Amino acid sequence: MNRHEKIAWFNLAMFGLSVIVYFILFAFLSPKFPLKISLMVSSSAFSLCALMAFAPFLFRKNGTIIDEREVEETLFFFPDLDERDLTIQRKARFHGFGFFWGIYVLMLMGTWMWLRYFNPYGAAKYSVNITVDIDLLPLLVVGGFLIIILAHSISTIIQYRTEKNSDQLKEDRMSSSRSFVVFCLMFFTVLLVINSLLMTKAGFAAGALMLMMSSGIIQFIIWMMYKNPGRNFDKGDLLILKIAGWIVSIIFLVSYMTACIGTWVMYRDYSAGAVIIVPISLLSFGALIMFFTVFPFMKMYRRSGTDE
Amino acid sequence: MNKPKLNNTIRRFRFDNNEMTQQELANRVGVTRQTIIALEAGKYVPSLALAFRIARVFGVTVEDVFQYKNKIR
Repeated sequence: MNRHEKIAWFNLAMFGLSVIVYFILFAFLSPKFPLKISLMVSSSAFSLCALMAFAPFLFRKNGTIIDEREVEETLFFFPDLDERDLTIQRKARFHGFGFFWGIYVLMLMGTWMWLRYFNPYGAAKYSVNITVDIDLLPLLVVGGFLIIILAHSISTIIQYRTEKNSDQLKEDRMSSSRSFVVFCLMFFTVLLVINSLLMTKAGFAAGALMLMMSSGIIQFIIWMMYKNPGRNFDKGDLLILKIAGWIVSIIFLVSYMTACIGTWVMYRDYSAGAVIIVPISLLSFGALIMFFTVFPFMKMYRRSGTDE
Repeated sequence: MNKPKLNNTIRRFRFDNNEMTQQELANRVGVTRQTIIALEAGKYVPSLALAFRIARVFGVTVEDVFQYKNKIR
C-alpha cells in the first residue's frame, strides 16, 4: 500500500475512533446530565482527531528523495512524492476544499433559511434578531477542518485504488460533461423551487430577490458551460443549454421586476427615505447582475445559433 | 466524437534493455515503481517531461515509446 494511502486510512480510522468514543461518552453522560451538557462534553472525543497530525511521522520513509526535480510541492516530511502522487494529492486537496465549501455553504444557508423562514418555535419576522452562540464559532472551524481531512483522505484512497484505464486522455482542468450538465440543471432547478417556496413564506419581495440572485448565478454557470463545452458535447447539448439560458434569463427578469415592485409595496408606508433608497439599491444591484450576466449571454445566444 | 488514446511500449523496451526491472527504470527517471506499473497498465498519463526522460533512458524518441491514437467514433 502506498504511504499516502496509509496516511489516508489512518485519518479515517482516527475519525471513526472519535465517533465511537463520542457515542460511548454520550451513552454514559446522558442519563446523568442535561442533553446540551452531555453533547458538549461528548464532543471532546473528537480531540482524538488531533492524532492525525502524527500520521506523516508515523509513516515516514527515512527522508529519501526520489527525484529533486519533482520536489515542487513537497513539504519537509513528504519527500517521496513523484508526479503521479503530486497529481493525486492535488486532486484530493481540490476535492477536500471543494466538498468543504459546498457543505459549509449549505449548512450556513440552510440554518439561516430554517431559522428565519421555517422556525418551528414561532414565525421569525424581520424585526426579530436571531443570535448565534459565540461558542459555536470554534466548532465551525474544527468541523470544517475535519470535513476537509475526511474528503481529502477518501479521495486519496479512491484515486489510488480505483484508477480506471485511461481510454481517454484526462486533462487537469475540469471540463463539463453531459452528466455534470444534467446534475447542475437539476440541482439549480431544486434551488429555484426552494426559492419559490420562500416567496410564499416570507413575502414575495424577499422570495423574488432570492430568485433573482440564484437565477443570476445559474445563468453564469450555464454561460461557463456554453463557453467551455465538454468533449462529448454535441449540437443537441448546446441547444439544451441555450434554451435553459433563455428560460433562466426570463425568470431573472420577471423576478427582478417582482422584487422591485414588492419592495416598493413593502416600504411605501415607511419614511420617504426608505421608499427611495431601498428600491434604488435593489435596482442597482439587479442592473449590475444583468449587465455582467444576463445581457451578454442573451447576446451571445442570439449570435451563436446552434452551430457552436 | 473523437476519443484519443495513449498507448505505450515501456514493457517491451524494458525487456529489450537487459531486462531492466521496473524499480531500475523508476530510479532512473525519478518516479516510484507504482508509477511505472500504472504507466505500463495504461492507468496513468505521464507528463511531457517524464515521457521524454523515459524515452531518453531507452535511447529512442518519445513517439517510439508512446503512441497517440485519435479514434473517430
